This record gives sequence, structure tokens and C-alpha cells, in this order.
Amino acid sequence: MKWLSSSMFHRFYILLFSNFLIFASIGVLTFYFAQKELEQHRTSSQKITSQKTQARTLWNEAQQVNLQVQQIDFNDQTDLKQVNQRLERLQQHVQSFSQRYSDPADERFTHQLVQFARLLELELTLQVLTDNQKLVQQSDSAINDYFRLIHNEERKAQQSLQQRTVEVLRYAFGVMIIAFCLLSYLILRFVRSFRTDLLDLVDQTKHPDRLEQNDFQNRHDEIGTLGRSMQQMTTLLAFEHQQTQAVNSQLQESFYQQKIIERQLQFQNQLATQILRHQSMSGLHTWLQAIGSHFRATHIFFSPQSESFEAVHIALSDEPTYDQERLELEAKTELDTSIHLIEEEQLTLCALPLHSPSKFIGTLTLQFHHRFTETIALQKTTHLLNIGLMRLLDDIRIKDHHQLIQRILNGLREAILFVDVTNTNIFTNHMFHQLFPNWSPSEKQSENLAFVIEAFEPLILETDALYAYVEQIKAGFEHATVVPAQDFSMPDDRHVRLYTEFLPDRQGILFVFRERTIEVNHAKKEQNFISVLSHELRTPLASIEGFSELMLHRTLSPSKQRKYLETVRSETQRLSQLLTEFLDYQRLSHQKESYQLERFCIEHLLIELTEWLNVSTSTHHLQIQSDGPCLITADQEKIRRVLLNILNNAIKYSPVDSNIQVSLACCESEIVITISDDGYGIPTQDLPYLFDPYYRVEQADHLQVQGTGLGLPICKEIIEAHGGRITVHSEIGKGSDFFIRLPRDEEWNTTNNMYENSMNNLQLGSEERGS
Amino acid sequence: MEADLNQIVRCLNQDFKQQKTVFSAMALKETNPCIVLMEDHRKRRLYDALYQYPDFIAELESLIYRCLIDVRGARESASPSEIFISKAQLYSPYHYLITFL
Repeated sequence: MKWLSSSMFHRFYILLFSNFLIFASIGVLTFYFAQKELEQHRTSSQKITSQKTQARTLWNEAQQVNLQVQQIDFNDQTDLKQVNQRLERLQQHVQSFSQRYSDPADERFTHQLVQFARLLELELTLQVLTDNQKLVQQSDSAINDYFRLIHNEERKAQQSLQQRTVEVLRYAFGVMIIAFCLLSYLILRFVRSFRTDLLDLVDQTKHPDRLEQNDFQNRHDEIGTLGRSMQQMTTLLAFEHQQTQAVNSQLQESFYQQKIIERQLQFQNQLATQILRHQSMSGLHTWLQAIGSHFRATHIFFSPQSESFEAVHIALSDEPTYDQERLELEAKTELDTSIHLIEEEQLTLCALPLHSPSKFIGTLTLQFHHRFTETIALQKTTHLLNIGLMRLLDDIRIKDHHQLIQRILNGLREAILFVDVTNTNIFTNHMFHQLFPNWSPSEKQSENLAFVIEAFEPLILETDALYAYVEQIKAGFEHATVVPAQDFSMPDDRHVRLYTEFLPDRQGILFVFRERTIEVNHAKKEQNFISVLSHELRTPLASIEGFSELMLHRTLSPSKQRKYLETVRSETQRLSQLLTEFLDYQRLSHQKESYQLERFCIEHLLIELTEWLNVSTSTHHLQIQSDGPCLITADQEKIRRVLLNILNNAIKYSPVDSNIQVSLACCESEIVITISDDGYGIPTQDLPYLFDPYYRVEQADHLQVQGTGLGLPICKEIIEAHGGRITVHSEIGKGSDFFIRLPRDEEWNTTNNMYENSMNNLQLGSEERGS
Repeated sequence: MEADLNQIVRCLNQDFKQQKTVFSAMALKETNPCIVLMEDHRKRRLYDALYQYPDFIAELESLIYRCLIDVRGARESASPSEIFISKAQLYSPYHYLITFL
């Protein structure tokens, strides 16, 4: 590039300089000739102008002399002398003019002036004035002609100058055209030579090998330098070309090997993908088929040692199998865990051991129709197969463990929810789904702990407490601290206690839900019971206290004293009855009551009770309706107490003179006793709680009747201890119907029926609440 | 008195709700002789026997008699009720038993 710049600028400068010289020469010559011509023209013009001026001066002087002559006073010598002097000067001037200009035209002018001067001289000599008008006119005409002639001369001179100038310019233009052509030629030559050099250079650069040494050795310019460098480079390149060819052949060989390895790796990659994708036994067939297809096997066999797998045979062609040889080979493989081959004409059997790090899994045998050479690749592939089989074994083991854990979890009475934090998996047991049948977390809710807990939001009443507990769990999980258990209520009046335990190393969180509905209800009942009991106990005690105080601090008449003492006694009896019933109820409800079972006729018992009540209570009419004698096995005294309680209630809560119907239905397996009254009736909202201890109907008619609130609960306990049921149907203003169902001859005992009865109690309670 | 007891108790409680008194009432024994339990919400602690606090007894009696007159009217004038007030320590130091004789 430097050479190019140098060469190009060098030539360009020469060209510019030549151009400058040519144009400078042309300019100088043109200037010279033009100046010369102008000088000539100026001289001639000055001459003509001088001639014209002198001529005009002469003529003016002649005119003045003539005028002076015409006006002269011949008598005046002075004037005469002056005129003569002027005339003489005129004549001298004319003479000098004629001497200077001797052309014919000048001579004519001079002649005319001489003639005019002679005339004037003559007049002066003669001192006679003549009429010289004609001469003056002639002279004037001649002078005008002369001046015209001079003008023509001037014009000619100017035309001549113009012509010369045009000629000079024409010559200069011609010379410039020639110079331009010459320059164009030179530029063309310059460009052509430059182009030729460049093309040569390019050609030589492209084909340095064609450059003979002589071509550039003789050159001393840049081409020569470049050519020599190129020659050296060519030599070097030729050497490197040889080396490159050698390396290229090696590379081609490596490339071929690389392609084989790449193909093998691609297959292994696909196989690994399949192994990762298929995690079941069906995947094994896919893997084996892929291996067989890749290595162009005709048959592929998998003979497992482990019971976890089944034997697999995949036929990839119709070629017959060689089972005997294969079995021998597999036996060898079991003994020696290395690759074994049987190579015969058009048959190759290749057996490879498959094993985990700890144990032998089985043998993979491939049958080929050709000679098999890819044993190393096959061995590498079997590594992957080993991994896949180990994964399958692990999966089986994990599934077994999962099933075991699930069985253990299902065996627990507590509801379990395990959140595997690392894999965001959720495990639950049957009890959990029983406790939360509507618990169904969305996919999002299974993602993390907060979302898992969110799924409980519609199932738990104390949502604020739930979220506060979630925060506690998060903090506990973060700092590995113990999170205390928390109690929650559910919308269906159930109660759970949630225990949270963290697995070591933050592997997961175990939520244990323990239903405590029975406990809570029991506690509530206990609380209510104590509250009611304390009230029921304090009321008669307060009366006793009040009247005792009264009798102590007041002076009372004997009649009043008696009255108040009777009241005290009455309240004491009430208190005593209350305590007795309370103790009975406690004994019954805790299944501590012993039952003396005997076989008796329930009809007789009912008749006996109704007759006694008809006698003792004259205000009501008790009627009995029975199917006849009916034997049952039960505690007669307890049943008597139940019947008496219900009948007394019927009497107490029905108006005077009303009827009370007692009916007995004796069925094959059970009896049904119905006690109906036409009393005040029980409000529907009170029915579900009627058998709860100390529950009193808040109705004016009912409040008038004194009661402990324990009668019906005791009845219920007794009947249910007998394996029966007591229910009630009532309408306000229409009376009540109590139904007692008792099994007849069933072999039972209270101990065996305890748990069943308590369960039934719960169910019955729920049914009644639901109704 | 049995028949009027609930109305008397209601009257006493109404006065309490209207902040005319500091005593609330509850019927303990609704059969004759009736007993009403009253609670002093001002929580005045009376350590000695009640007769030593005549002002307190007068306050309580005036309250009860006003309700007796309101409820029973002419009958109360014809046969005035007699009441006996005693402490009900069984409940609390601020509870009192009113026995209608």
C-alpha cells in the first residue's frame, strides 16, 4: 500500500508539473505576442492621433490666421506684424508637417494649407483682402477628407489589432488544445501503466508460484520487493502445505473416530433419556429394544437374577435363536462377571453381566448375524442399563417403603399429613381423609407449606389462628424449634388438635391431627354439668340457709316456725334427691352401675305401675294397652325406675284430668313401650337436648314443675345400657310420645355393651341434633 | 307470692338495666315461701351481720317494696308482704337472699 501511494503520487506530481510547464509556456508566449501587438497598435495609434492633432491644430491655426487677416487693420503695423509672424509660424508648421508626413493624402492636406497660407501671405503683401471663401471651403473640404482619412486609418489600425488579437487567441487556443491532448495522452499513459502494474501485482500476488525469479529479481521497485517476499512465503507455504496435508489426514481419521463416538454418545444420551423417562418395568423393554436396534442385533435377551425382574426376550428379526449356547454363555457370565462371546459363522452371541455395585442383577445377551466388533461401546451402554436397572430396583424399594409407610400411617388413629419439603410431596393417611373429606389442595397449594395450610382455610373456623400457627411453623422450621400443639374447631362442630413435628435436616414436616371432638364435648358437658350442678345444689342450700337465718334472727309464731321448718325439710329432701340422682347418673354414665339381670314379664310390670299410679295420683287417668304377656331379660328395678320416671313426667307435664296412654308392643326380638300424654308438649328446639343432664325446657308450664334435670338422662343411660333406645316425639299443645325399645332375650352384659352404647349414644345424639 | 314472683324479679332487673339500682335479681325458689337471690354490683363488702348495716337493708327493702307495690298494687296494701334478708355466702360475699314470708 505504501508502494502504491508512493508510485502513484510520484507520477501524479510529474504529471502536474508537466501540466504546469505547458500551460505556463503557453501563457507566457500568448502574453508576449499580445503585448507586442498591443505596443505596435499603440504606437501607430499615437502616430495617427498626433498626426490628426497636428493637422487639426494646423487647420485651426490657419483658420485663426485667416480670421485675423480678415479683421486686420493694414494700417496698424503692429497687428500686421503679428499676423505676419503668425503666418510665418503657420508656414513653418506646415512645412514641418509636410516633412514629417509625406503620404499622398498628407501632401494634399499640406498643399491645401500651403496654398491657403500663400493666399494669406499674398493678401498681406498686397494688403488687399480677397474673397477667400471658396478657398476656405475647398480647404475645409480637403481637411475634412484628410481627417476622414485619418479616422479610417485609426479604424483600420483598430481592426488590425482586433484581428491580431483574435489570431493570437486562436493560436493560443490551438496550442492549449494540443497541450490538453498531450496531457490527456500522458494521463492515459499514466493510468494504463498504473493499471498494468496493479494487475501484474495482483496476478503475481494471486499466483506467487508463477512468478519466475527473473521477473522480479531485476526489479528494484516495490513489486520486486514484494515478489521476493512472496517467493519466500511461497516456499514456506509449500512446506506448511505438506505438513497440513499430513495433519489433515490425521484429522480426518480422528473425525471419523469422533463421528463413531458421537453416534455412540448420541445413542447413550437417548438411552439415558429413556431410562430417566421410563421408571417402570415397561421401560426395560424399551431400553433393551433400543440397545438391540442400535447394535443391529437379531435377538436380545435379559435373564434376571433378581426376583424383582422378569426375563425378557425381544426378537428383532426372524432368525432362529440359539438358546443352548446362550444359556451356556449366561452360566459363564454368572460365574465370571465379564463379557463373554461365542463367534461362529454368521452368528455372534455376546453376553454381558448386569450388576449393581453390590449384587449381580442378571445377564444381557445379544445375538448377531454378523461379526460383532463394538464390544467396548456395548459395555459402556450396559453401564447405563445398570443404572436404569438400579433405578428400577430403587423405585421398587421406594414404592415398598411408601406402601409400608402408608400402611403404618393408615394404621394410626391420628390423621397424618406429611409434607416433604424437599420434593414438595404430600402424604396423607385414611384417617386424614376421614377427618377432612373435603380437603383437596390444588396443584399450586401443593407447592409449598403456606399453600398446603391454605387448603385448610375452608375447613377450619379459626383462620386467623391458623395463619398465626403457620407463622409459628415457619419460624420453628427455620430455627428448628418446637412448635406447640394448637387446637382448632371445624365448621361441623368438630374439634382437632394439630401437632407439628419437623423431620431432621429439614426433610419434611409432619402434621398430626387428633380429633378431640369427644373430649371437647365431654369437657363442655362436664363444664355445663358442674355449672348446672352447682346451681342446682346451691338453690336448695340457699333456701335452707335463708330460712335458718330467718328462724334464728326473727321471733316467729309456732305455726310459722313449723311452716319454715317444713320448707327447710322440703329443700333438704330436694337436695337429697338431687344428690341421689346425681350419684345415680354419675354411676350410670360411667358404666359403674351393676345390673341384676333377670327374666320377667314386662306387661306385669307396666300393669303394676299404672295401677299404683292410678291409686296414688287421682288427677290423671292412666290406661294400658298390651299385646299380652311378654318376657324380657333385664334389670327389673332399673326398668321400673325408667318407666316410673317417664310416667311421673307425663303426669307432671300434663293438665289435670288428662289421659296417659301406655302401650306395649311385644315383637320377636324387641319390645316397644310407648307412653303418650296430652300434656303441654316439648318445643322442637329442645328435643335434641332433652336427654342431656340438667337440661330444663324454658317453658312457663315446664318451669312450674320442679325437677332436677337428671331423670331423663338416667332413663337414657339405663335403656342404652340394656342395648335399647329411648326416643321422643312431641308437639307443643298436643303432648309427647316417649318410645322405649328394649331387646327381649338377647344375651348381653353391660361390660360388653359399654363401648357400643357410648358409640350409639354419639350417633343417636347426632341424629337427634340433625333432626 | 308464687304468681307474682316472676314479675317482681323482672321489675327488679328492669330497674337494674335502667341503672336505677345496683342490684340484680334471680328467683331461686318459685314456690312459697319464695326466695330471690340478689347481687350487689357495687361490690360492697359487709363483714359483720346484716343488722349492723341498716342503711344497706333500708336501700334493699325500699327497692323490693317498690317493686312489690308496682306488681301487686292494692293487694300489697291489703296484705303487706314480709321479707327477710340474709347473706348468701354460698354464692358470693355480694349475694343476698330475699325470703318472702
